[in-house]
Amino acid sequence: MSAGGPGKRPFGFSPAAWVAAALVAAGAWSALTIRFQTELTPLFPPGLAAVRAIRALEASADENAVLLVPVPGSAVSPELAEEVATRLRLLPDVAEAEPCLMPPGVLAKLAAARVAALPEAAFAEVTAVLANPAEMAARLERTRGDMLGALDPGLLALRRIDPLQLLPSSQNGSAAPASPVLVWVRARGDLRSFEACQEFVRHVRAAAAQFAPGRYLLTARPVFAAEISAQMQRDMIIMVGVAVGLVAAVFWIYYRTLAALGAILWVQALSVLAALTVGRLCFGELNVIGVSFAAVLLGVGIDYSILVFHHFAMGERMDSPHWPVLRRAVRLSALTTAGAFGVLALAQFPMLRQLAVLVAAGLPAAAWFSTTLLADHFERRPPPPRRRLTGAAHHVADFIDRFRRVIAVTGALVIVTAAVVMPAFARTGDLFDPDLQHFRPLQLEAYRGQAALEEHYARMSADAPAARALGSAAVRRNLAHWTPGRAEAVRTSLRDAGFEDEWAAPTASVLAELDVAAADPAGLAELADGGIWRHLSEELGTTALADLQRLSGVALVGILILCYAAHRSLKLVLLNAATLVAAFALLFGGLALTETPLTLVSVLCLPLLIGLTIDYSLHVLLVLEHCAGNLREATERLGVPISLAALTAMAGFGAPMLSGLPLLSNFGFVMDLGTLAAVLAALFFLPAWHVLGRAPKPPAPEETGPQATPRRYPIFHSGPAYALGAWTAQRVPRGFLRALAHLWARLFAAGNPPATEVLLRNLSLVCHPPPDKKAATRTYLSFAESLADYYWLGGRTLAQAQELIGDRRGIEILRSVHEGGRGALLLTAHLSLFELGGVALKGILDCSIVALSLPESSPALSEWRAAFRRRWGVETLEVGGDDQFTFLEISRLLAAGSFVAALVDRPHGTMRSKVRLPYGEALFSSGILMIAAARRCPVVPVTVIRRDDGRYDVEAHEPFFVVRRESNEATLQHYSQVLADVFAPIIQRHPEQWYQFAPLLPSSSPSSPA
Amino acid sequence: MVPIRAASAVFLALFTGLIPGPVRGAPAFDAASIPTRFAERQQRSRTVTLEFTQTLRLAGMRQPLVSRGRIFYARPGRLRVEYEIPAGDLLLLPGDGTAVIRKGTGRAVERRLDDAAGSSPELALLLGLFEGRLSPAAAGLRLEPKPPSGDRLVVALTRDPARPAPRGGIESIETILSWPALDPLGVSVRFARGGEVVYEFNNLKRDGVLPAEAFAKP
Repeated sequence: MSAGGPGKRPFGFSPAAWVAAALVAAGAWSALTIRFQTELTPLFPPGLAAVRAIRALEASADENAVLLVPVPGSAVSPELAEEVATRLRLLPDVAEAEPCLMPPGVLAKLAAARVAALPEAAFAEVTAVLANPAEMAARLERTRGDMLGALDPGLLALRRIDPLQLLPSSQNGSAAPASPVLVWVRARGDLRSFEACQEFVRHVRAAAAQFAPGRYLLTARPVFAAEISAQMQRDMIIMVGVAVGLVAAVFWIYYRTLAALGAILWVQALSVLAALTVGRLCFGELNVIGVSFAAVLLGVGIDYSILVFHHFAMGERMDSPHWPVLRRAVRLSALTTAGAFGVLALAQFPMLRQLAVLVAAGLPAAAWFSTTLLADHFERRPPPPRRRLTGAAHHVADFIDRFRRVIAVTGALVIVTAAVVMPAFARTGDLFDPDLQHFRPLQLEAYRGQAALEEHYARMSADAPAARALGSAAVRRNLAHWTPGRAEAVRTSLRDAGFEDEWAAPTASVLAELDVAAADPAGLAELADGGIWRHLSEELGTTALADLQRLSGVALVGILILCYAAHRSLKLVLLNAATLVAAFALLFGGLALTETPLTLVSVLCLPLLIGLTIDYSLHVLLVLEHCAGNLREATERLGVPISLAALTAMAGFGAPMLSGLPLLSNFGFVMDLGTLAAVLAALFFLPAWHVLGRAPKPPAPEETGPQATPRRYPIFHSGPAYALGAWTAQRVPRGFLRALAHLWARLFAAGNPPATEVLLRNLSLVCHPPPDKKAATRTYLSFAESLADYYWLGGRTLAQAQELIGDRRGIEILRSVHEGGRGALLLTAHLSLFELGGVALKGILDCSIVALSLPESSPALSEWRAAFRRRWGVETLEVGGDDQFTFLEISRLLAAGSFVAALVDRPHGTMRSKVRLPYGEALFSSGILMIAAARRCPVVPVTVIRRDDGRYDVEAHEPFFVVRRESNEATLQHYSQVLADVFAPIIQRHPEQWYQFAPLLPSSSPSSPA
Repeated sequence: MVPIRAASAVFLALFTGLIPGPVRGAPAFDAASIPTRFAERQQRSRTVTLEFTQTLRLAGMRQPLVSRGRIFYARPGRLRVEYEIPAGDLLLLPGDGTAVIRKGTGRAVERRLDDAAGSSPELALLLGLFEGRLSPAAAGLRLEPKPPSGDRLVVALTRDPARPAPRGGIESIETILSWPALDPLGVSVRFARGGEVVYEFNNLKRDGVLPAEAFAKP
């Protein structure tokens, strides 16, 4: 419901205002209760082996502990590590601080991975040892021997964790690096919140810096959380500040007002709250990528508000005829873009799924609030008009018009070049770089510490390369031969050899890891393979590309369907698609020139750009069509707001370029480049293509009638739709078919305000008082019933079909005409099931009947309809205009005594005559009457009307001959009026059966009561 | 009564005579001077040889691990710890800034002395002991010579309670010296959260002639 419409306003507020108030409350609750998560791995598909390995490793680590890792190349001795640990132990919020070789918990998993990665024979030996108590006793005796004599703390440490000498380094006697130079620090409290993480990390960092300045890097989850959250806070302040500043500046330059911007930003805030509420209800949390939904909403959603604002800034109001068009365009555009994003909900990446849902929820909200609350606001407080903008828009329009061929060809060349070059460019790998380095802002200490820790692990696994070379497949094979449940036997052997259970604990924990891995080997296999991050990059890259290919196809099909629903024209949909391709070609060209690759995050820009480009091009096309190709008017209406919207979007998306996080910088740059490409394609290429596709000279005012614009067909007016209808009609009862038709009619009525507008305008020519929307719905219902019967007829015999005929009036007139041996023109109107005339005459009059028909929306449909008529003996003659050949053919048919049937109450061709209807004027096509004059054949007006019982009365009215008057025009005018006078009373009695969905009036001709 | 008095006097005389008086020439116990005196004592000797027993007790192991061997020391900075049980083990500081470590019949590994001392604290401990240092480099330990008991004296190095040892770090060191000669009789090192290694020294000889190949690298 529109806020400006005649709807109820409880307590003086519009329904939109009530919804907004509820949304503010729900949004506040969501903002307060939603959880923000900064971890990386939940963003990725959980099924990937590398992701599972990392998550398993993370699960082993203490969430409340940080790790101090020596700076690579710095001299850190165990004594220094001890000193630092000692110092840290004095901090009040530190529970434990220990020098260590590896963080607790990780050791068992890494050790298990190394055992699993043993060559097959060595692994078999391990399993044999564990199954043989005597062998275990012998090994324990050797372990005791190793502890005698010269003390080797490294070896002692190794035997302490591996008394059975199962690990590769234990077996070959080379001790692992024995220097416990890492420092593991566990917090006394729970480090859940960002603030707690930041506080604890600050204390630890200060203490470490005091005793070992420049020697240690801090890492682990709390450090990541602390640093990323701090970075995000800084970035958000900078980004929001810069974005708002730039948007405000651009808006002021355009419109010299900031008050309106406040209202626009308020609507954006409402859409963000709507999305946040949906996110809270669906997910309960927001990840670091999901958070960017706000940027996307601001970038795209503000377009709708600016378009609405511009409408009012041009001095127009909600009662302007342009308003319904704009409102529909905004809502359709929001649905299309939301649909494009919604498809991402099918992605394998949780981060994309979350973003998709949030944006798909937020954009329709932005469109709805823009066309209700905001429109209501500007209706009450209209902004001052800006004439200077109009002049600028005209200059741009003139430029496009003057150079339309050059621009159109350039656009085509861009597309062709992209089609040729892109595949080769994509194969170079420069276009997409999934390397996870893009996710690692190396200025963050946590990341540098993580890298140093990986080096540390690599050094500790000095003997692992050979094992790594085996690959994860060998690990899986080893694990397939693993026998779980050996831990108890190990404990028993150690007890027998004089070792307490604490000596068995490390081995038991390694065996437990192997037991788990035997059931699910993926994680450990990746870990053992040693390239866990490399694997992750590869897997994510492959998955992202697969998602992109799969979902882009789905999104594209969905978008094209929505575009078709908007335009009802294949040509316009193709123009939409061409604009999209051109925008992408420009984007990829820009990426190639700037040597900027797409990353796993900036790949997100692609669906976003699909939405943005379709958004712009949809608006441009709808307005171009509405303005009948008037480029000046279209540019005035759209060029200004779209360029402003693009600038604001670029300001919003460009702000992340200031971020310290490389992935956000890349995202911002790609998005800005894409927005620029979308604007160039939509504002230059598209209008040029559109103008070229039309007649070069605009029609004269008198001709600016309904047929001056390309004919558009509803979606049901196509070959497949008719075939489907006929197929269905053969299989279901007529009643059910009519019920289905009723449902379809109601949906169509609700979803097609512009069509309804045209219909009501036509009905107002014959109805007083002017009909309302209910009258339109009645017409749609009646039309649907006729269509259902039409389909039903298609599968029935002649006898069954003739059962539909009620009264046949005036048959004697037709018979006498026929018996006179002359042909006749049977002229009728779009009344009820007019196609039934042929059925009514079949078997009663032995005459040839030919129906004149305009070309349908496709040759297939023309053929289908011709075949349909042929069943009742009615031939079809397709007429394309007023050419002499058509005239000759019709004359020949009449001369042969045929009845030639035609519809006259809709203008086509160049011979049209204005007729008076009870409450206005309309154009009838009158060319056919010239043939009647030439052939001196009778003209018989015929009508078909459906009765309440569902049967149809067919009536032939009094015939007349066309006698030439003072001029051809006067002749046509006169006899067209005769026909109108016959049809008008019948239409007035049955307005719901007059199916006039195309405009009957020239736009310049105001209707006036006759 | 006379016999009783005489008997009492004789008994008193006998009793007091049995009480050992201060040894002639032995210095009085002065805790503060012990480190200096020990250092002087050790630094006067050109060479030292002795036999030792090394007893390792680890948390969670029921039986201690006992090793035996001989130690040769020669000033400055040369040390050979030669194990007989288990045979073949060797710790060698040839005095050129390196350390050689061999386990059993395995290959001897040569490392820089600083690195070896970092990873094998007993090397630093034993070398420091023979060079006259009672306090090893480990920070946070307090030196406390205890009054002699009989012919022995214990010098304890204990950790400040406010700065507990890390896991596996040295908790305390006790050096047993003969009194008043201040010859090393043994060293006991306790590790934090369990574990202890004890060296007992016997047949200590100073300034003897050492085997010619005592400090030759294997």
